[in-house]
Amino acid sequence: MKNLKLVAVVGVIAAVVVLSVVGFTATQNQLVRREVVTVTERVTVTQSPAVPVTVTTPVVVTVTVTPTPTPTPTPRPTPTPTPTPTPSPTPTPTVTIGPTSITGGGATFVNPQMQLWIRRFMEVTGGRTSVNYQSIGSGAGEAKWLEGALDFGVSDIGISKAGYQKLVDGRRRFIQIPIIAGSVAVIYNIPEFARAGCELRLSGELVADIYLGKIIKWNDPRIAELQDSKCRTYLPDKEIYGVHRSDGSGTTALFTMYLTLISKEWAEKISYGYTVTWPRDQMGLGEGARGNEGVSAKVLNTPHSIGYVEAAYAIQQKIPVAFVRNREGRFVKPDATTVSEALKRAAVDLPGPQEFWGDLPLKYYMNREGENTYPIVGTPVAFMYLDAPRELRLALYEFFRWVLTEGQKAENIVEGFIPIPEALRVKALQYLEALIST
Amino acid sequence: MKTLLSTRKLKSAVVFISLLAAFLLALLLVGHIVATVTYRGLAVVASNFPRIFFDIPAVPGVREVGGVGPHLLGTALLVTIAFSIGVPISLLAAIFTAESLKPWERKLGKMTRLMTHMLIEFPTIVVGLSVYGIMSALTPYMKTLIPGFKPFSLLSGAVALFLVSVPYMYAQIEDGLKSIPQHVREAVYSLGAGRLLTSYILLKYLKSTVYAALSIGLARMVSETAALFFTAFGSDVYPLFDIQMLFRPIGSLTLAVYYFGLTGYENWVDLSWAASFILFVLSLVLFIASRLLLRGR
Repeated sequence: MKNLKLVAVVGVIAAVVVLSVVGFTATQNQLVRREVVTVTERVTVTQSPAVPVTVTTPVVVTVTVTPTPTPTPTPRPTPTPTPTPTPSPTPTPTVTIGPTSITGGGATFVNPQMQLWIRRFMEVTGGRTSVNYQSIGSGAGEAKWLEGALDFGVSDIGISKAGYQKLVDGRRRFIQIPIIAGSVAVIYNIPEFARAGCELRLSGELVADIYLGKIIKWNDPRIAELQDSKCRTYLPDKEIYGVHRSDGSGTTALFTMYLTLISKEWAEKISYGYTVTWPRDQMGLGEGARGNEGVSAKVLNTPHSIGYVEAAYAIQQKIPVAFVRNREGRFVKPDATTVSEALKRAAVDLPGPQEFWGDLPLKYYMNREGENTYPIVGTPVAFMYLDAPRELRLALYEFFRWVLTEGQKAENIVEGFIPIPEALRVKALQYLEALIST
Repeated sequence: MKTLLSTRKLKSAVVFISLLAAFLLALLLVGHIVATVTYRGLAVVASNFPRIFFDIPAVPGVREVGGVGPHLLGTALLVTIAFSIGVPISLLAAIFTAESLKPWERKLGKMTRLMTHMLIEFPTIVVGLSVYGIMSALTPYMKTLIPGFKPFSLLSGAVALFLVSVPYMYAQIEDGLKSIPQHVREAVYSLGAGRLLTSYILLKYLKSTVYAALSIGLARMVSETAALFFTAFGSDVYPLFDIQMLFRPIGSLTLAVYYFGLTGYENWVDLSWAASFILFVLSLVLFIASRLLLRGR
């Protein structure tokens, strides 16, 4: 009897749930139908430009743009042969391969973009090649790829020194390619500034000294002298609260790399890495927060604080971003133009695909010349083995070739992400050829 | 006399109130979880009603959420495989330890019990990592037999789930068998039944306990996350359906909750809530089933 009662009660609950679900769907039916329509539209849109022949034209266009900042006297030999790196103008999906599945993992930052690429790529290829990417973190991505559990890995700053040593010792053949642009934005919260309609200007040295604990208050004369003359008076007599990432992250790695490059004291005391020790914390004037979300929330909720997040995130969430002084003394914010400007220059002297890329942002991307160049930039790097089975290499080639051609077009880029500039893209495509030439 | 009585009453009242407060606090927490998951999840599930069970997740930053089809399929496959290996093994192991007669059997049974109880205490992430380690070590040898063998696979995930939930099922069934009075057991033996037949009869006697144990094991498998990180690995697209499927990564609802919940995109966070609601309903059904079966005892 007791049993029966319980069954009845459960039955009633289940019935209520089912009924409410049905009711909900009935009311929201229109909404659902509209969504379905948008989905089908999307499909047709993405399938029409499936033939990547059109890619060749933009290559020429931007190449003509590159030499304008007077690179003619520079002895760098590589940038000129740009017309050649369209080595496969024929749409390569002609390489017929059986159904293959690729597994990759790594950086969390690229995950949204990766998922979009995967969907579109599988729509275009009809699901013949199935790609699976999981955001397990840059460090884990590298480690699991080295252990052979992943077909490709993605890291925010490239393979680490220890990982590279392992590859060299094991005589493994591999390539690394940049897949998308990344940059770090310095964010801040000064209510007095916001009220006055002022925007903060900083330099790398100042940011380093703030996080080192050498600059305590916002109205420090060194900060004031950088500001616009009418904004100086609005700098409050308040202590700066320094927020940073508490979890290991590529954003921290890029940010600390920049400080290492700019400040000698930072290089000696702290250096760079996925996690570092923060002197300002020990003074009680700073703390860590988890993820881009955590840092931005902390900064937005703490008046007189400063922090740093992935620029894509800051743009997307519309958080106040500070101007940073570049090598030419100009103050710039991270956006599509300033970031590509920096990476475009790096394409010229990018090291070979099998060299050590762990300090690539430090040596090649950051603090580049040019008036409109943002200094704190990097590229998430994908890496894969050249000694993998042929079928897998073909599938990887097909996918990353799509990523570097169709994938860099505006319709396949998630809001806030920035495609890599043409020159770098062409170079990456060149490196990618190794997958099928061996 | 009177004052004594009043202090007693006071004490009683204090204890009663604090107990009530503790009870309410516990109820509040459970209620809060249930309410939030239902509130956030039900709306998403309802507004995407049939699609949510079949579609792949939508791209980030758009209005539609897509679905958790691959994750649902993955959970179903993982649990089916792990459960179908786990049930016979936990049953047989429980019978062996409970019905052991010879001294060496008893010793082995004791060892088994000790080890299983240790395994229950293990953090599941350690179980997952060790399965990953074993599978990585096996990979070079297995590659000669199966070219696509990789440590991140449906197989590894199923093995990890098996290791996580079998100790529970085993311990419960074994406790049930042990609780049968010795004279009942002797009565069965005295009729001339062999050991296997005896245990079969005794298990029939324990039917509800066994069912409850199995449904608890099942609920644990469905809701397990940590053990799957480095084994099933996760996948947001449907796997290719062929023979090699067993050796490829696969998604799971719990992993979907974790990965989508951590992102900053609203539609992915919604998807995470939907996945948690589906998980919640699944485990609730299993929980109620196990309660019902235990009551029928």
